[in-house]
Amino acid sequence: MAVASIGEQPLVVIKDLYKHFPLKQAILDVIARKPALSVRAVDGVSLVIKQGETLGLVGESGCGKSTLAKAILRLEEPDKGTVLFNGKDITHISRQEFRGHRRHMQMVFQDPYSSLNPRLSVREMLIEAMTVHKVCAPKDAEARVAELMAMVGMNIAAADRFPGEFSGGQRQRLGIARALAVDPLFIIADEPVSALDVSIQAQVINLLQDLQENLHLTLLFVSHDLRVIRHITHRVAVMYLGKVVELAPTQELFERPLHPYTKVLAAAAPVLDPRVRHREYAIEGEPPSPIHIPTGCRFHPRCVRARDICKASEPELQEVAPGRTVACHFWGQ
Amino acid sequence: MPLEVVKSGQNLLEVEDLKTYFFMKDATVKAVDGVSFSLAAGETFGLVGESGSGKSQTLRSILRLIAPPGRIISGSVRYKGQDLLKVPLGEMRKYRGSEIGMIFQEPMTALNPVIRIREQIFESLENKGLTTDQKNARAVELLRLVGVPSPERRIEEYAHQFSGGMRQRAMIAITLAAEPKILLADEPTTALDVTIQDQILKLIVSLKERLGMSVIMVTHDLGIVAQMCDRVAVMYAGRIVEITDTLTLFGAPRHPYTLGLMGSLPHGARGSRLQPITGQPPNLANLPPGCPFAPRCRFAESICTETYPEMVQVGPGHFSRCHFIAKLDGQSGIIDLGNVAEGRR
Amino acid sequence: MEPATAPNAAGDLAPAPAPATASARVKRKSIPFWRKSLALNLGIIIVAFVFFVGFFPGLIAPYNPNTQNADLMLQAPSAAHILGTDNYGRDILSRVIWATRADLQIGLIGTAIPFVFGTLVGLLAGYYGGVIDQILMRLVDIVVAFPFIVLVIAIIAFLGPGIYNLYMAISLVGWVPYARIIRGEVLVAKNLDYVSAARVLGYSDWRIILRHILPNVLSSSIVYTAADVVFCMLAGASMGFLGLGVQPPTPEWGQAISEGRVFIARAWWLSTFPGFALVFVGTGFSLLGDGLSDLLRTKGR
Repeated sequence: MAVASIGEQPLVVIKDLYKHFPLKQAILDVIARKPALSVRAVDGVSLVIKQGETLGLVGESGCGKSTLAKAILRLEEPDKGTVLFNGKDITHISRQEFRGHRRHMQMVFQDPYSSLNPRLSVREMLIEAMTVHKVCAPKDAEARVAELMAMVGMNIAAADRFPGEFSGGQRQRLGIARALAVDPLFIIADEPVSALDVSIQAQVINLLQDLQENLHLTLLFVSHDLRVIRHITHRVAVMYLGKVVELAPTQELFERPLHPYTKVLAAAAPVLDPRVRHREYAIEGEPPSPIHIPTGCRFHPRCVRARDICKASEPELQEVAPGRTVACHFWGQ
Repeated sequence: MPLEVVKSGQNLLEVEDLKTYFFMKDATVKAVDGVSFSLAAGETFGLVGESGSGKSQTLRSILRLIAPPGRIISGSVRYKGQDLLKVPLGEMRKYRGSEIGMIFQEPMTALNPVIRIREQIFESLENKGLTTDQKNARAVELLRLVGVPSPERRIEEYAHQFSGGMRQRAMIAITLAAEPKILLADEPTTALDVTIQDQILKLIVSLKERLGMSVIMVTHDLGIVAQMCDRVAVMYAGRIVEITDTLTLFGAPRHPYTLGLMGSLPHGARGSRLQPITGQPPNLANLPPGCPFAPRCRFAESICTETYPEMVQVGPGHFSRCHFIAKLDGQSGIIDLGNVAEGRR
Repeated sequence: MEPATAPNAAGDLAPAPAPATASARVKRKSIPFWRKSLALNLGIIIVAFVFFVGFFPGLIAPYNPNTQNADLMLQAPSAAHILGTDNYGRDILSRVIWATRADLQIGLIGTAIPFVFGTLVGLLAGYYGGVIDQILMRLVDIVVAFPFIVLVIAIIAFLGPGIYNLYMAISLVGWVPYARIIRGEVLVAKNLDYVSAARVLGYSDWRIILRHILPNVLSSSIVYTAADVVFCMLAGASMGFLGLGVQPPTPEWGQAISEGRVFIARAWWLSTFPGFALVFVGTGFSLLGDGLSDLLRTKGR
């Protein structure tokens, strides 16, 4: 599929997506008709991922970023809402039908130690993916394995080894090779470098960046690390308690964050300069549980700007500048 | 006395030529292989390195918390004129907790799950001649000090009722109850979210100042080093390869590995390409002769694979283990020592 | 973020998944498995011997096990009859040797069928969860509610004695541990990222179950089979002892022990030697199981 540089053409359109995990209820509570509680992991997310871009998804643990990633790929079935891929609804088709589309959207996982099947050699792993989707003729499979290994910077001699023989960074490369084996258009990278040491992290970041540019991939990069996000993404979506609170081009977001929570995140990350030290906390307290989400703006109990309206009504994401949306009643202040 | 141990009357702790090996079935892993450094009173000293560099085992060796198959082979840990490695093991109790306290990466494994937080603080308050009421008051005060909300109520709870950040606070409260002079912190915020990490780090800074402690901070995160430490030692494959004050580390590092770490850090906007260290960390069970960093080093020459480099002084209080210090002249880190960066995040 | 390291002895080292340098790999491979576990070696030798005896009893047995001789009734062990003779004058050594065939068969068949069936149940229950899991696991609960032997006796009592009904009874009861072991492992494995990756790659459920889950969950139930063989042989012998299993004149240890019981006061060798045979075989398989579990554990997953 021919894709120019980063277009305005949307590849993935997420519309009002929900994923709640109901909590187990005690039998007495069921009888007493108490309302069932649930963890509202993804609570109405709308997002457009443009062809050829790297979109960052950032937030703290429990904000729902990983669940959103999984819900897009239907590793968790969304409760409500739609995901359009290349204009086609992929949430409301049968699992059987969806399997045919899967090769276009792949995933790279966080934990390099559990993301590879320990009983398959690298070659078996790659060839299996290619065969199932008939990516290439069987006679070309060997050449394709060599090509994939070269792409991720691994020696072809390693193809006959098993995952247990590789280090974390090498395994992450192999996980990327597996995702690339089916020639996808879109890759979700869920904290792909969080488990790696700094020096290895940089290798994998460079690799992802190169692949993204050379193969014109569209990337959703999920991470809690703002430094990495700032380095690798074109646009960033900030999530808080199941919702996107701000979406902006990366540079603008870091230079002029509009949502108070974005400011907090940026202030909390340790600055790499010993001369810039602050004594005051970026924010007090801890995020509320995603079971009991505050009314109105979900950030209001911790927000320095909060006023009465913030308790009463939930701000919608509104476009405040070209390409910049924010969900805050007082974003201008 | 090795060069890098700062000669000063105010050193609270001096670690000299510490070696801690792990004797595995097929191999000996030299986790800590000749580490020397000193800690001045009131100082925050950083031990930074990647996994397997030996930074945590160095920290644990100070309190002799090394279990078989690991063993401290040699060296000394001098605290108040006493070599802690020569103290009979039974008497280490006098130093653990009340003189030198330690907090861990995963507080859940360090807190006792079946004992109330209160009892755990009480244990640290023993031998202080306090009545139960006084202990109670002190425990509440400590929890308040570390920022646990409604401490009167939470003191009755168990560790599993606390969130990750609160557990770390409780852990700190328990450690502080014994009023240690030195706090050993082993990646205390690695398991926490960035906003909670921020709170815990700043809590440690303010407690350190209020209580006049010294801190040894083990971390893999150079951001934490920048924000917390006065001096720092960079570890690689069981040894310290560079030791200096924090500003110099970021401004003018003088070891190829430190330079490599700086190049690996994403610290600017998109577009600037990272300069990672090539290759993989070495296998500690099978270290090559010479400098263990040589296979990954862009400055390496043949001598590097043959002879292990000695510590060389490159500036006041600045030491590096490299044969080719001269080649590194003019290399700079990620901050420009010329002007103060404005809130670069 | 650094991989979480518990503050244990080797916490910061993580040499286990350390970068596999060529030399480390060679070193690991150069220690052959038979040098690692004494239990495994002994187990393999005993089990191999038992298999040989079980498959070729005719080659070893000095006499026909069923030839009766009224002149040689209840003879004590002697040069001609090393283990003595029984109340029909049959050579006990020969009967013990021939009985290996029947008992080994019970052990193997009684393990193989439940192994396959239980594994299948465990895979389906664990992977699909939900209603399928509920139904299958309630079935397991019902079977577990009764002691193994009691249930086997009850089923045989219903079906009637005999070797085939014995297989049937053991199979109906014996699959349960496999289903539980496998289900537990599947519940863990199916949430591992490589299984998620397989789903993202659009693999069919069968491919995921058989190629990506099964090979990774099998080891603990394979270890269990070694113990189960012993268990089934003992069950078979017990049924033989009660007259519900292998029927005379086919030689079988449990049945032989039972027959000798009457003469235990004056001819101890009738029951003793079949008993020894059971203990010997049981020990062999137990050692094999221990050794296997050592081996699979050190190999790591």
